[in-house]
Amino acid sequence: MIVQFYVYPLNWLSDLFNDFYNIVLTFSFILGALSLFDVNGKKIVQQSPGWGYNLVLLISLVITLICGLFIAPPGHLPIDEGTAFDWIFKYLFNPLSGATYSLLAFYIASASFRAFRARSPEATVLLITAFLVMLFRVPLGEHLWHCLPFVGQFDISKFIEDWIMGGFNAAGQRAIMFGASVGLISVSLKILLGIERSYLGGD
Amino acid sequence: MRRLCLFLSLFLALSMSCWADEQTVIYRLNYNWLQKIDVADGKVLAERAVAGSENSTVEVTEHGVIVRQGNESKVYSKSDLTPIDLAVDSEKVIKSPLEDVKDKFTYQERRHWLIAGTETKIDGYNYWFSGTPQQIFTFGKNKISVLTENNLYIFRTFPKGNLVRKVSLRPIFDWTKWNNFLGVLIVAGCVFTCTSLAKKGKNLFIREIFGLSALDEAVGRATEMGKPVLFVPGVGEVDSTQTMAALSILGYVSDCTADYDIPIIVPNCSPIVMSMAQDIAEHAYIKAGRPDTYVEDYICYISGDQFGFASGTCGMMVREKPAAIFYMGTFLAEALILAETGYSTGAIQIAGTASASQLPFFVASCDYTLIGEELYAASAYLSKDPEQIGSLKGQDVAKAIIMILIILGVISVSLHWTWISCLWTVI
Repeated sequence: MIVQFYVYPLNWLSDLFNDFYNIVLTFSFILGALSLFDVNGKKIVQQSPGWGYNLVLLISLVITLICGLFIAPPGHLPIDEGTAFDWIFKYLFNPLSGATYSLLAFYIASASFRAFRARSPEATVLLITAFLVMLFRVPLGEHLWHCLPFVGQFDISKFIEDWIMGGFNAAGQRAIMFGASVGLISVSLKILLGIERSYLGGD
Repeated sequence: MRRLCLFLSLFLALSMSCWADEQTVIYRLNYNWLQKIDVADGKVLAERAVAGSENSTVEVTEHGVIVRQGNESKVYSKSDLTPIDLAVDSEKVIKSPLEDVKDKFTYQERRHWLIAGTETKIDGYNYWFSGTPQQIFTFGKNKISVLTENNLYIFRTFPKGNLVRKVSLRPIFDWTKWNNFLGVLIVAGCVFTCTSLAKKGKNLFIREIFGLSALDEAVGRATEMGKPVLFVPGVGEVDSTQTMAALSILGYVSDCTADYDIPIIVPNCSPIVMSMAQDIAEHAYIKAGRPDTYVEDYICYISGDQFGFASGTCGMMVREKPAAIFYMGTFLAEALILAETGYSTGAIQIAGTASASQLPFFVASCDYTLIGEELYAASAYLSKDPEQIGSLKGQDVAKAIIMILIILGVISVSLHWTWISCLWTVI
């Protein structure tokens, strides 16, 4: 894969190995389904606390599987638009995913509350920076800034965009990315050369 | 080292040679975009914005691509087109009656239609549609009158332009990526050199990584409280190096939990990762002589969907109340959901990821965070194996070189040394 990245005639290897990987990945979902049946099935049989939820999960899994594999109007695939599987996806799966995602708003608020406490000089700098970015990147904050005497002439949004976001923030992120990229090459080399084997359960 | 030099020499010798490459390409003008397209697979290979309209014609000569509009013409060099790799097989379902097909497509959609591989001569805007009636016709100016009302039609556009068959020679080695290749060689060289130094017994200093030192403390706390340990290997697949690094750390953590005789719970987002995690944990418990403590059901598959996975894992946290939670690997938007739920259970939390966008969330919610490279360094740091410690030192040397190059880059740009910028140009 490394060689094909630099050598034209071997470019096709990338697609080939990706196809291999996708095939293995697809079949591995059978493993996942078996694990779900095994773990949840045991809980239902033993009537462990909350076993009703396990039952709901297995019933949902079976119904989705049947709809996705078999139920379709003539001339259509079971995964086409307008089928039962599509209905499950649109009206059950997507709203549930959306609901979980929307929890982030509350979690961000609680995490920010803890992170932005001025307990040390560094935390105070973080608090001030966060205050500036949060307030003055919205039209209301910008309007309020321009209403201030003397300093109102100064373009605060440009300062935030160019200096805080484009300068300090981008520099910090890039530093992390540089370090991570070097680490990535090193780990890949160790895995390729067999120096690193602990991910296989060895020492 | 001798073998490495031999391999490099062979590789470079091969790279100098050339091979014949037959490529059928088409140059077309798509509104204001001159595009180069590979007919075989329909990919837009390169494009650039030019002055032109739908009435312009495109002619391909040895000197370049000539765009003619009325009496005016302009020549564009073939190499002036910016290479891109973007092609979308697009179909659009439109319900007739249709006033103006072109208005029904967005600009972006029109730019990336797939070319039919069977087309040999492409001239004008062709729209293929299926439905009733089914036929192929050429779309003239704006109006389509053959469509009947209340039918669904699927349209696919073919591009306008001249078909050109050309045979070109290009080197085996992609020289446009020479700086990338050099970078990899430098990093690999640093890692190899430091590894061999470490093997020879040279004492190499590695700074303390607090997040990794705290792993034992977290497992010890779980043992004292008699509660399980939860390890989340992220939402990445096995093709992600972050997942590999996470599994390495799982090996160490499961060794600790096996030694202290406490269970480990590993919810998974990928069935392949689940199988690997099961093997790693089982191996650790057998090695510690406690195969009975290992519970396979604790290392299970939750869901392939990130939020389904997050919901299932949060449920586990609330039900099992683990004393220590580890988040290692690739994380996306679910990172904060997991970390905040873990925080609410009162567990000691250690996170590690190279996903820069999720790091702030982990820093805010977890007790210790492994930032970027620290995740990759974990395996070497924990194993204390001289060979692996050497590779860590190699990474540090590579980073020092990058820092020097950054300073050099700043100086060269400030002094307008344009010749040196080729080092950083990514094509």
